Amino acid sequence: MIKENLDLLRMKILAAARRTGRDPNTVRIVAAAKSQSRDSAEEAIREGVTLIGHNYVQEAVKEKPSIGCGPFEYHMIGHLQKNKAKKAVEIFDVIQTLDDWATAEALDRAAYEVGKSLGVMIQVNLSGEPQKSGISRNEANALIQKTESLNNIRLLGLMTMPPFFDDPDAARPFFRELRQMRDELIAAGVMERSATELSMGMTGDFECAVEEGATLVRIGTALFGVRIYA
Amino acid sequence: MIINQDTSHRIILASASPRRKELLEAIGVQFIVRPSEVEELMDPDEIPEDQVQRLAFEKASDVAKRYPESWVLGADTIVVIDGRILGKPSDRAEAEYMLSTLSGKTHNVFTGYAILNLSFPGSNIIGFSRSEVLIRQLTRDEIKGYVDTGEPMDKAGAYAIQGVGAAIVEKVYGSYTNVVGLPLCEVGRDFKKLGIFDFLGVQQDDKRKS
Repeated sequence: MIKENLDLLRMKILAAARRTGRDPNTVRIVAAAKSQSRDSAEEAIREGVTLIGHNYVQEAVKEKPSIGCGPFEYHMIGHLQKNKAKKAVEIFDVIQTLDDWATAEALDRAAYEVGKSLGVMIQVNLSGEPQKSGISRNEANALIQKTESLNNIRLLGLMTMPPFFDDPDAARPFFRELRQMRDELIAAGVMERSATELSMGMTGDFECAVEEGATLVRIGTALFGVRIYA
Repeated sequence: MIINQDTSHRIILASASPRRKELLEAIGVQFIVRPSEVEELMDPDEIPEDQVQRLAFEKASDVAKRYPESWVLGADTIVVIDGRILGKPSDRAEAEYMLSTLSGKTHNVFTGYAILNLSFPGSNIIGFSRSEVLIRQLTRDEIKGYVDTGEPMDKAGAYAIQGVGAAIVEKVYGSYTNVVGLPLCEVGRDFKKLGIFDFLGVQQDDKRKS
């Protein structure tokens, strides 16, 4: 079933990219493997998915796919607590959800100690919803500037999670805003030219996100099917 | 409180740092060393130049209470990179991490100093100096090797420009002695201004008392 789902996803991504004249190869699927068995994630990797995302450090440790099934990058896509920084650096390649300086510093230090170069993305809260993680747009500049100064972590780009809407088109302004924000930050020299990643869009709204410039879409349900909570 | 009646020591260095002692000796000042016992409290909202001047003043004041007839010099040095203040590393791992942070970049070194004498309450001088230091790109092995020497452990920013650390300092803009821990040009100038000591001319002679 994962294969069929993936084929359909790829077709939809291709179509969405074509609609706005984008190169479909600049869009990658992050398989959001929260509450999925390791087997499912491994199957996705065998079908060519190269990015596996998890929301919780502990689950990610327990369910990390074996390297034998193919090359993949492991992404943290849930909120990261500072006290889990060391563990997170050990297990993940990329933290997509960085939103505060203390955690940035903890990740930088852990990355030095573990001896790896960690990729990070800044999670921006564009809707201002208080229950959502992410740094506000106003405060993002300072955090990005300081994060760029850290020697052991690489800033890859921005991530956002718009409010939930039944109509996927309602999220469009948030996707557009994140892309504009990235372009402005790079133009202003605050963010490196290489920090082009935009992680935005999930099962319900990824086509709209791709139209607006997403380079990473975090797909769970549309790939693995509806989650079954035991 | 015990007030020291021995007034033969007119200048006191309120610092346990052997580097500061050597620097002050180098310009020919006669002094004794009496380290302060103040606790160095950090305020995260305080800018570096304020912090070093405040701590220098607190150190000097602490010692001046015991030697109310002497001129007391206090100093405090911090290393600042991209808005982060690096103090003395608490362990080996922190020293390594600090050096990894400084590697390949320019950072600022601030030393604040305070010269005061409780007998001349209006004559305090408090100042600071800032220098920029470029540390060359370091490999992990170089960082570990340097920490192995033990030198980084009691130094702000985990390196000593006057020691083995000289080998990792690519450039210094500004006062060199400031980076070591005491900006001699400024301190010497202020000593002269206060009439305490003129290292280029008259030897120690308290003009205020004569």
